[in-house]
Order: sequence, then C-alpha cells, then structure tokens
Amino acid sequence: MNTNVSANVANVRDVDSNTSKSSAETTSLDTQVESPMSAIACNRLLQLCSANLPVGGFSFSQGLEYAVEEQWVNGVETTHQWIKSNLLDAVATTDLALSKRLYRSLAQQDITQFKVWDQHVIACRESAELRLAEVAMGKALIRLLSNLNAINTDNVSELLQRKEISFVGAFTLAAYLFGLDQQSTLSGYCWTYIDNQVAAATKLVPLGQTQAQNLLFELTDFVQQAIHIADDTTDLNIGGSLPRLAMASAWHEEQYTRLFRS
Amino acid sequence: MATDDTLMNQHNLASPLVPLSPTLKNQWLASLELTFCHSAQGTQLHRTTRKGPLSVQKAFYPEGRDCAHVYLLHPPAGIVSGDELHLALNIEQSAHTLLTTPGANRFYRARDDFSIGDPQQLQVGHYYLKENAILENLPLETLIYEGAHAINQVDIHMTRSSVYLGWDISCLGSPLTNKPFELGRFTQLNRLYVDDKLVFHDRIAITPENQLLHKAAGLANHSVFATFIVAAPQALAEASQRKLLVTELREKIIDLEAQRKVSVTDIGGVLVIRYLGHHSEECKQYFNALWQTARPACINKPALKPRIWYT
Repeated sequence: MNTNVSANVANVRDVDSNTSKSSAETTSLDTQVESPMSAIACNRLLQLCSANLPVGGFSFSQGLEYAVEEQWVNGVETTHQWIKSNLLDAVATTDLALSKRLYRSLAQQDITQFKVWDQHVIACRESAELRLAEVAMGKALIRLLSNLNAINTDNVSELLQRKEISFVGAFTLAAYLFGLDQQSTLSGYCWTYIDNQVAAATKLVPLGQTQAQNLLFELTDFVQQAIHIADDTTDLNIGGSLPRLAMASAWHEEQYTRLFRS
Repeated sequence: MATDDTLMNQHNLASPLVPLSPTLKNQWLASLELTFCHSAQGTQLHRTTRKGPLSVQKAFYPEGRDCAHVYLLHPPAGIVSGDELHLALNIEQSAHTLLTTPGANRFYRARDDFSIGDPQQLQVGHYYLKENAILENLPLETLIYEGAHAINQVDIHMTRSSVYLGWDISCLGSPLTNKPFELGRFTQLNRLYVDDKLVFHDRIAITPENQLLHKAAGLANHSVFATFIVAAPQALAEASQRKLLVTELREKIIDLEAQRKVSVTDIGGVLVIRYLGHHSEECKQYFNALWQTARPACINKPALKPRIWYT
C-alpha cells in the first residue's frame, strides 16, 4: 500500500509533545508515549533506525576515535559518560530541537521554513568531519527515499533535489513520510545516535558485546530526558557545541591510523 | 543623534536582536553604532551613534589610510547584573576596519537578589560587512567571574566578497582569588551569515547544571577557551586554497608547540581555530601568530601587531 503524503499532511499531527495530551482524544496519530504504537508504525520505525539502513553511519565515530586515541575514553564508564554528555548537552539542544522544528515545518507544508532549519543543523556542526558526516548521511538517506517505491515524495520533491541536506533533516523527512509521529521520530533519532556510538566504541575502546548491550540499556534511559530538554529549547537557545569534542574532531583529520571518517 | 530604537530597528531583519529592556536602577544600558566608509581618502569613521559609556577613540592609521584601527573603550571596564552592551559596526563597501580593546572585558559576579531585576549580563556585537568590506575583530580576553550570569553574542553578517577575521577569548573564574567557576553561567554564541544564509552557528553554554566545564567532551577542566573565525568566502573560494592555508596554520601550530591546545578545521569554507587551555596570554600569543598567517592569505596584507597590545 502506498503511503499517501497528502493524507499525512491533511492529518496534521500535534507537533509539540508537550501539548499532546489535550488532543489525545481527537487524533489517533498523536505523539504520546503511552499510546500504543500500531504494528506498521513500529515496523517503519525499526526499519528507519536499523543499523542496516544504507546511510553509512558505521563509518563515522563523531570524534570518538580521537577521544579513544587520547585515552579520554578508555573503558565502559568513560564511554557511558562521553555518549551521555553528547546526548544531553549537544544532541538534545541541537539535533532534537531542530528535528522538532523540521517536523513542524513538514506538518505545516512549509518547505521554505524546512530549508532554514535544515541549514541551521549544518551550520551547527563544529568541524569539517562532523559537517561531512551530516551531509554525507543526509545525502545517502535522501537517495534511498527517492528510490522507495511505496513512498510518495511528490510534495517534497524540492527537498530531494537539494545540493546539501542534513542527516537530521533527511531523517525527519523520512520519518514523516513513513507516517511516524514526532515522539517516535525523536526517540528513533536518539536510538540511531546511541546505537551508532556504542557500535563505534565496541570497535575502538574496545568493548565486549554484553558490555555494549548493557550500555545501550543504560544510555537509552536518558532519551526521555533529552527529549524534554529539546522541548524546553527556545529558538535563541538552539545549539550546544562541545569545545573539546570539536577540537578532537579537528585533530582527527590528521590522526595517523584511522578506522572512521569522523 | 539616533535613539537606540532606530539603531535596533535598522538591523532587526536578519537576527532576533535582544531588545533593550526598560531601564532599571543600577543598570547600564550602552549602545554604540559605528559606520565606516571607504573613499579616495581611505577608510573613515563616518558616523557614530552612541548611548551610555561605550565609545571609541579617534581612528588611526598605522598601516596607511585604507585600514582604520579603532580601540573600543568601556570606561566602567566591566559588566554587572542587568547591564546590556550593544555594539553595531557597519563596514560599508570596500572599507577596512581593525577593532581591538585596550583592556580585558569583564563580566562580574551577578547579584543573587533576583527581585532587583534580571541578573543577566549581556554583550551583543552585530557586525555588518558590505561588498569587499573587511573587519578584523581582535579584542583582548573576556574575564567571566565566578557567579556571573553572562551572554556574549557575536553576529556577523557578510557578503561573499567580504572578509571577517575575528576571535573571542573567554576566561572562566575570578583570576585573582583563583576561584573556580562553579555557580556561574556563561554562553558564547557566534553566528555567521553569508549573504543572509547561516553558515556557522556555535553556541557554547556553561552552566552549573550541565557541568560542561568538567566534562571530557566539554572543557575538561580548562578555564580558558577561545574561537578564532577566518571567513573569506571569495578570497578562499577554492578548496585547494583553504587546504593550503589550513596546512600553513597547522605548521605554525607545530612551531608554537601548541598541537594539544589549538585546533584548526575548515567547516564548509569557514576556517575555525579553537584554543582550550589555562592561560589567556598564551592563547593571545598563539592567535596573534596564526593571524600573521591568515591575514596575508585573506587580504594580501602583512599583519602588524596593534601597538596597544604591547602596553
């Protein structure tokens, strides 16, 4: 069955998870955590967040490789702290806060505004490699979206033609076209981020498979907190640069032996 | 003389400028708008609109008429709770201005009694660069005292043919008493727009809640952090030119033995140099040395260290 874009757009979802409770009676596609997810929505989310999604996420460590090289991250505890800090201090106020705005732009069919927020994501990247990861994965996901037979992209064709698009933008667009609500989009994004970082840490630190699974459990406990931080982030407070991570990523460009592109 | 309202209204298009709040007791609201124009006589300070204690000395010309050197003066020498400092610089077509300060800027400890008014301390710089305009914004360091509640915001609006070289050096904690920065809040926000497109947005927020000062990915217990932006979209249009400059800057960093304190990267055409360490003097020495390399590459002029830095 085709995922009909115009039907999605007509059924404008409540884009602010803060206020979703009041409208729970009126829209079945609402963003409540407690509302049961339909089987199809759950499967779409799993597909979008799968490590098998061909966007090349496995080739980016987002500064972690240099942090391990310098022994800033050297075991389970420091891995936990590194990823948690990134999630709550950077991803929440940047990626999640902007994903909310990107999602709202789509719900309002405001493509111009979508482009502004998308450019904002790209502008927030603190190094050449973090920017590269953003636009390379964004481009790969857009390419995939254009080739998914069941997805109708007529209303967003302008976005598919863009020279550059952020991964946050492409991910939010994909989630929207997959019929996912905003809360699922944000928590799915967090999963993708955490899963990718833990996978990189498993290779780099290195960690055992069981340690990695325990880390995934522990770190996902902070996802709801990250989403709350994003909810509270005003336009002027968007962005959370991490200075030493930014420098690690810049230094990584010259790291002698590298497994990762960032 | 224009009022603050006209000053603010001229520039409310591209950025949400924080409005001047109504005047409270014990509060300095200062604004200064400077317009530099270029003519056959070189670059001249054409217009000054001023309110409050922020001012500049007469421009002077140590390297010829084309480049006006200007010292920004703030006689109170520090910013306390409720203070707002707004600086707007208009660098008109082909004008070239080098702006620096004779002393460190200071955000003092904010008051604890919120009933007197918002304890926030705000400094905002708006820099508007027209075609072929050049701005070098090289202030001395900013000291952010323990307990401050400060925002330092820098908005740069340039065209593809303009050149911006500018830094901000932030030192956390009270220097004399060696008090760590535990209760203070400080946000450094840098935003760079090229032809109205946001190309670089860097917001570093240090708060007691996020403990960024202590975190490994944050400041890792370093009290001085700084960002030096080199933006010359047209002069450095080719990736190969930027790669060459990045290589030169990295060689200079090796010469300075600063490999573990200074990084340089090319973010979509904007070069961003960062320092993380413990000493503002050291940071200024490094940045000055890197400016010596970046300046000729961007504007084809050698760098002359401003005299005031020696005093």
